[in-house]
Amino acid sequence: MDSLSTWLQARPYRLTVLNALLLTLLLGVIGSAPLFEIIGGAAVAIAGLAFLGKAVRNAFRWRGRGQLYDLVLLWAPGVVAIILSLAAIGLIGVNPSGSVAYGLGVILFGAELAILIIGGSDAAAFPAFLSDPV
Amino acid sequence: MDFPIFHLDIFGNRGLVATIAILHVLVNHSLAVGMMPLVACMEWYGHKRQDPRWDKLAYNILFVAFLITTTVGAMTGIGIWLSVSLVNPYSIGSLIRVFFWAWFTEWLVFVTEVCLILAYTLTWRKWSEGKAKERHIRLGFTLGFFSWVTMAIIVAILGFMMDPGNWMTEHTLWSGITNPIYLPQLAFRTPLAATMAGIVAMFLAQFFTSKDAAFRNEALRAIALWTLFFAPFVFIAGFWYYSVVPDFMKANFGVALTTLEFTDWQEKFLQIALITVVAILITVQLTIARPNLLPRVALLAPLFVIFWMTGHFERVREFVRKPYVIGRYMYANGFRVDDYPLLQRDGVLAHATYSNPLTDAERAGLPDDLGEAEREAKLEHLQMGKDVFMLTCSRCHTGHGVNSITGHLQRMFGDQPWTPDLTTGYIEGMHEVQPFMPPFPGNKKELQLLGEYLEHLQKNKAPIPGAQTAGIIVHAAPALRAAKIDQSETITR
Repeated sequence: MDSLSTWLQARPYRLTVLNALLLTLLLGVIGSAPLFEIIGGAAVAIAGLAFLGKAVRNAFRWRGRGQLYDLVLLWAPGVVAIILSLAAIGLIGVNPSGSVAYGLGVILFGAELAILIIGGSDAAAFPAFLSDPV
Repeated sequence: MDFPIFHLDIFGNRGLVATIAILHVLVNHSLAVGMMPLVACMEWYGHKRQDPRWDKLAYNILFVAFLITTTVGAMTGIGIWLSVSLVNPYSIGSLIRVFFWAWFTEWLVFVTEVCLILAYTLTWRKWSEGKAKERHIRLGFTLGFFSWVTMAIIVAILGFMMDPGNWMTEHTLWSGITNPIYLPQLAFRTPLAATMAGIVAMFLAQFFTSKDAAFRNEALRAIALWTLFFAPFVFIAGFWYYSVVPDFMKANFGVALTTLEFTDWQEKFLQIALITVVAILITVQLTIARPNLLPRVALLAPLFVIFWMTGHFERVREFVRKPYVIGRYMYANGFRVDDYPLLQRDGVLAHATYSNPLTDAERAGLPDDLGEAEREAKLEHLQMGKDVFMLTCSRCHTGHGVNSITGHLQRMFGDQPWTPDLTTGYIEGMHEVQPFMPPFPGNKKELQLLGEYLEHLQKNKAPIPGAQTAGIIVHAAPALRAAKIDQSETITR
C-alpha cells in the first residue's frame, strides 16, 4: 500500500488519472447515457481546457525555439484524446447500456480521459517530457 | 470456352487466389507502399539532426522490408496473375484487353521500383555523407512514390472489377480507369498502407533499439505519431469508399464478412472490428504518451489486428462484387452477361472444347443392376454433368472441399436423396434467393445433367480432379456432342 501511495504521489497526474478511471467505472456501471453525456462531457471539458491552456502557454513560450515536430508532440496527444473521448461519449449515447458498443465506449472514454490528463501534465512539462516520459 | 479447367477440389480455386493475393497485399501495403516513405522520412530526420541512431534504425527496418518485398512480395505479385489466369482465364483476359497499356505501364513502374529498392538498400552505406546522403534520401522518397504508383494503377483495375462505370458504354481505357470506385479505394488504401507501415515499424523498432536507451522512446513516439496521423484518413476514406459501393453489393456484406453459415455473425464481426480499431488507437496513443511503459508484446496486438483486418477487407472486397467477377460485365463463373441468351439457348457444352475426364474413383457408385449399354449411357451423362459442373460451378465451388456444392446441398436438403427434380428446381431460381449467385448459364437439358451429377456426388465422395491431374478430352465438334444429349435421353434412368 505504501509503495502504491508513493508511486501515486511521485507524479501529481497519477492520482487524477485514477480518479478519472474510477469516475468512468462509476458512470459505466450506472448505465445512464444522459448522465454519462453530462458528467463525462464535463470531465472532458475540464481536462481539455486544462490541456489547451498549458499547451497554448508553452507553445507561445517556445515559439521560434522548438521544432515543428516537437510542437506536434505537444498538441497531438491531447487534441486526439479530446476528439476520441467525445466520439466515445457519442458511442455511449447511441447504444443501449450493457451492449458491446456501450462497453467499448466506456473503455474508450476512460482511456482517452486518462490520456488527456497525461497530455495536460506533459504539456505543462513541455519540452522536458520528451526526454523523460514517466 | 477455350481453356481446360484447372481445379483444386479440397482447398478450392478461390482459396488459392485468396491466399496469394492477401499475402501480397499485406506485404505490399505494410512493407512497400507505406514503409518506403516512412523509412525515407526516418533517414531524412536522422540526417537533419545529424543523429546516426535514426539512420541505423531506418536501415535495419529497410533491410527487413527489402528481404520480404523482394522475395514474398515479388513472388506473390506474380503469383496472383498466375493463379487467376489458371482459375478464371476469361476474366483476366477481359481485364488485359481493357487495361493492356495500364498493365504495361505498371510493369515498367514495377521494374523501376525493384531497381530503386536495390539501389536504395545497397547504396545506403556508400552514400552516407554530404550531397551523396541527400541524393540517397531523394532516392528513398522516389522509391516510395513508385511503390505508390504501382498500387495506384492496380487499384484502378480492382475498382473496375467492382463497378466498370461508364466503360460499359464507352469501352475506352480512360473510362475504365476512371471508374466510380477508383479514387475512393485509392484514398482508402494509401493511408491504410501508411498506418500498417507505422505499426510494423513500431514493432520492429523494439528489436532494433536497446530497451533502456532513450532513443527507443524517441523512435517509438515518432513512428506512433506517423501512425496516428494517417489513421483518421483511413476512416474518412473508408466511409467514402463504402458510399460508392453499389447497393446490390452492400446486400452481400452479411455473407462477405463471414460465410453463408455465419451470416448472423455480421453484427458480431463489426463489433470485433470496432474493438480492434479502438485497441489500435489506444495502443498508438499510449506509445506517444508513455513509450517507455510499452512492453514488446503490447505491439503484437495492433500488428496482428491490422493484418487480420486488412486481409479480411480483401476477402470482403472480393466477395461483395458477386455474382460478378467484373461488375455487370462478367459473372463469377467466367461467362459474360451478354453471352447468357446464347448459352441458355444452345447450352454451354455446345461451346466447350475441353472435358475433364471422369476418374475411376468418380465412376464408382452406379447402380449394380445396369446393363452394359445403360451403364455406358449413364457414364456419358455423368461425364456431361461433370462438364456442366466444371464449366458453370467450379470457379467458386469444390465438389467436397472448401465451399463445396455438396456441403451446401447437405445443408439445404439433408440426407434425403438429391434427385434432379429437387436440386434443379433450386438451381434454376437460386440467383433470386441468393443475390450473390449468378443465374445458371446453360439450357434446361444441361440443368438436368447437372442435377444427375449432383445426385451422383451425394453417393460418391471421390475428389474431383482438375485438368492439371486428370488430363483433358478434346472435343473437335462440341456442338455435335451437345446434340447427343437428346439422343441419349431415352436410355438413361
